[in-house]
Amino acid sequence: MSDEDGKVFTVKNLVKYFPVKAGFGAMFAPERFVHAVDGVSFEIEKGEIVGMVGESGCGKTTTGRLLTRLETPTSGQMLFHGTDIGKLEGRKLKEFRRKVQMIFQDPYESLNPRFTVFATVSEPLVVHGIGESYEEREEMAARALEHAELRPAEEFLYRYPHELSGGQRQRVSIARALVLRPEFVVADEPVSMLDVSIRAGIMNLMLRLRDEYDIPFMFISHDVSVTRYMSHRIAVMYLGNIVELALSEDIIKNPLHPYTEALLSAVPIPDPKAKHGRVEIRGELPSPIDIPPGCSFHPRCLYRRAICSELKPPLREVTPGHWAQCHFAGEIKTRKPDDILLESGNCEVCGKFVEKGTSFVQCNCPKIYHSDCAAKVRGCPVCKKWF
Amino acid sequence: MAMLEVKDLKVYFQIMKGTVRAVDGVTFSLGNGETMGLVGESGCGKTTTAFAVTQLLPGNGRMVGGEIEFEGKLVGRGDLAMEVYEALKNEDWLPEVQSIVARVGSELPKYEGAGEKVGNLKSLIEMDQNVHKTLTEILSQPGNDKPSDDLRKVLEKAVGKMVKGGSGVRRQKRRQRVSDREVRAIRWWKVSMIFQSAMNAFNPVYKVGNQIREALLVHRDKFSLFRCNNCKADLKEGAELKTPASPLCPKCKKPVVHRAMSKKEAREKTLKLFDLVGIDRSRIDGYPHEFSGGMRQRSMIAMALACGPKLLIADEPTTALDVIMQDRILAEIRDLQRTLGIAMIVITHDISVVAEVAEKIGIMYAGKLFEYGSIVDIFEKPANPYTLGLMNAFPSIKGERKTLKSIPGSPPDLMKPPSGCTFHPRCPFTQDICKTVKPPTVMVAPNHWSYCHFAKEVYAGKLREA
Repeated sequence: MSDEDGKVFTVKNLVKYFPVKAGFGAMFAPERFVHAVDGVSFEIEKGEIVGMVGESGCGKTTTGRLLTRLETPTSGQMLFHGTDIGKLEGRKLKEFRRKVQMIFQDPYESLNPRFTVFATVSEPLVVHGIGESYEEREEMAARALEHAELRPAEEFLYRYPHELSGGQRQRVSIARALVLRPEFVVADEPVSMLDVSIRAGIMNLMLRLRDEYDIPFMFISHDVSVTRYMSHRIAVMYLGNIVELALSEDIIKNPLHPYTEALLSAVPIPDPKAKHGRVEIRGELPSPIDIPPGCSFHPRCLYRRAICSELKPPLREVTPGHWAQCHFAGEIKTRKPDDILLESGNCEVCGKFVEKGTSFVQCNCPKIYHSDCAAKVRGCPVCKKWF
Repeated sequence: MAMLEVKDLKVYFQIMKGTVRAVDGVTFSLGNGETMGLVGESGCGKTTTAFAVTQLLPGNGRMVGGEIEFEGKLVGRGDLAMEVYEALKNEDWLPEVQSIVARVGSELPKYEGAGEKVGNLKSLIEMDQNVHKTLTEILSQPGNDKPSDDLRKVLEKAVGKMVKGGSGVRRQKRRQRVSDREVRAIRWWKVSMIFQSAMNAFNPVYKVGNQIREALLVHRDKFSLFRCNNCKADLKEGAELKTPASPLCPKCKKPVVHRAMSKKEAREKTLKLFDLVGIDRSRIDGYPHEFSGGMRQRSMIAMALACGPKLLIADEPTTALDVIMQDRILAEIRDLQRTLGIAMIVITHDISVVAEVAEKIGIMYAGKLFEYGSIVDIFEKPANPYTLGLMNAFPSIKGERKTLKSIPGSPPDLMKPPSGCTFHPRCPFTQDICKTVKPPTVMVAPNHWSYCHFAKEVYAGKLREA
C-alpha cells in the first residue's frame, strides 16, 4: 500500500487479547484471555472521520489505543501509510507517535493539575525535540490554542487546569493533540463528559479542524447520534468485532445488522411525540472471555436461525460500501429510526391493547406486540417474518 | 390538589468565599402519578432542588426562602433568619427586610394550630415564629422605619444568633432546623430518591440486599402489619385483614395490635423487590462490586421503591450507562410508572431522556426555572432562548443531519450571578433591558411559563433564528 491510494490506515485482522490472571486456582488452569479486539479489519482514508460505536466493553477504546500504539497488538496488521506499525520499536515508534495523537475522554483527569496550559501543550514539543527555543515553543503553543478557539491565547498560556471550565480544558487537550501537526487523531469519547451546551461547540471545532488540516480522525463514542453528527463512516462494534461498517447516513437510515437495529432503537429521541417502537435486546453482553460460538450476537438476536450458533459469519459487502457481519444481512427487514410507528393497536399475540408508554415491538407488516409476547412467539403470526 | 408543591424555593450554600445561590426562586407543582423532567447543565441547581425536597441538604446548604408542601403538609420552609441575614447585605436592605417580615407574617398564621397541615415539622414553624416576633418588635419601635447603621446592627445581631451562633454539633443542628425523626415521616417512606452515579451510591462493604433491607427496617414500624394477641398470628393488611380501620383477627375475631416488620419479612420483601426490577433472587447476598453497572442501577431503583413511595426522584438515572442499558432502565421506569402509579421527578442533562419518560418539563439555568410546562408544548413551541439553544445543540438520529449550534460562553458563577437576566451574557437576543432588569415569569399559554422579557415573542416564533 502506498500513499497514492489515499489510505491512511489499513487494518487487517487486528487482534488484541488480554490475559486474565485472577485467583490462586488460575495458576493451574489453562490461561484465559479477554478477547478485547477479535479480528477487526477496516481502512481509514485521507481526511475521513470514522466513528466507532458500541456498548461499553465492546473493544472500541482498545482499537483506538492499538492504532496509536498505546497497546501492542497480539496479531494482525496495521499499515500506516504502508508501513506496519504493529511491531515498531524504539526510535521508529517514537517517530510514529509524533504523527498520531489522541484526545482523551475526561478533560478533568487527562490534564496534569500541576502543569500550566503552556507546559501541557508544549510537552509533546519537548518530547520530540521540536522548536529551538522557549520563545519558539511558546509561539507554537499559542498558535495551537488559537486553533482550538482559546482566544486570546496569551491569556490562557499560564493558567492552570483548575482555572478553566470543562469545555476550555477539552480545548486544551485538543490543542495538545494538534500542536505536533499529527497525520491522524484518535478522539476517545471527547464530548461525553461535557455539558450539552458546550458539547456542540467542541464537536463543531473538531469538524472545522478536520476541514482545515485534512486530518483523518477516529471518533470513538457510545452515543450514536453524536457519532452520526461527527463522522463520514460508522463502524459498529460488538464483542471485539466490527458487525457493520458503512457511510453514517447508510447506517442510520438502513441498518443491516440486527445489533445495529437494536442499538439505534435504544437511542432516545428528543421528540416527545416520536413513539418508540423498541427492538429490545434480551440478556446481557456476554463475557468477552467466553465468546459465544458462531455469530457472537446470536444469543441475543431476534432473527437467529440454526446456522447462527454454528458458523461465524464473515464481514461481507452487502451493498457497495455497506459491510455487515451477518448471515442474513439484506434478507431480514430491519426497522429504521425514521419508520412510521403505529400510534396504538392491539397486541397480535395476547390480544390486549398496547398501552401508551409500554415497551412494544413493531413488525414491518405492520402489527405490534408487547415485547414480552414477541419474545415468547419469536415470529410474527401474521406475516411470518420474525423468527 | 397537587401532591408536591414547591413555592419560590431558594437554597443558598455558605462557603468560605461567600454565598452560592444554587437555587434562587423555583416554583412548580406535581400531581399524583405525574412525571416531571428537570433539565439543565451541571451546577444549575437540579440536584439541590431534589435534595431540598428530601431534606438532604448538606450542612452548609440552607433553604433560605420558599415552602415545600407534600400532600398538603409542610416538608420544608425557608429560614426566616437566614433570609433576613442575606437581605441585610444588600444596599437597599430596609424595605426588603420589611417586606420579608410582612410576607412571613401573613404566611405563619395559616399553620397556627393546624397540626395536620404542619405534619411533623412543628419545630420549623416555632423557630420562625420566634424570629418573626423579635423582628417585628425591633421594627415596630419608634424611629426604626428609616435605615440606619444602628438598626442594621440590631437586626444583624437578632438574626445572627440563629445563622452563625453556637458551635459544632449545635450549630449544625440549628442549621438543619429539622430533626431526622421528623423528616423520616416522609423521606424514603413517601418520597424516595435514586441517587446520581449508582456505581458509587452503594456502600462497598455491605451486601446489596442488606442495604435495601436497611431502608425497610428504618421504617419497620410504619407498615400496616398486625399481630393477634390471642392466637399470636402475624397478619398483614389486605388479604387477611379487610377492615384496616378496626382490624379483627379472622380466626378469633378479636382486635389485633400493630407490630413492626421483622427482619425475616424485610428480607422476603427485598427478594420481591429484586423480582420487580428484574434481578435474579440469588444475587441478594452479593456485594456491589459483583454487580454490573445496570444491575447496580436496578438495585438502586429497588431500594428507592422499598417502602412504596408516592414520589420518586431520579437523579441522573442513566448518565453513567451506555445506550442499551439506558434504554432498559428507561423502559423499567416507564413500566413502574404505569403499574405502580408513582409520581416522578427525573433529573437529567439529556433533554432526549426527558422526552422519553416525562409529561412535564422544567428547564433550569443558574438556579432558576427558565421554562416550565407540558413537554409536547415546550418541544413544539419553546418560549425561552435558553431552551432554543439547548434544542439546537442536540444531535438526533431521526430526520436529516442538521448543523448544531452551541451556546456561546459557559454557565455563570453562582456566587456573582450576572445582573438582570442571568442568561443575558450568552443569549443571542439580548437587549438592554435584559442586562439590568430581572425578567418576569410569563405565562405564554395555559400551563406553559417562561422566565424571559421576550417570552411571548419567542413563543410566537418571532425570535427563532439569531
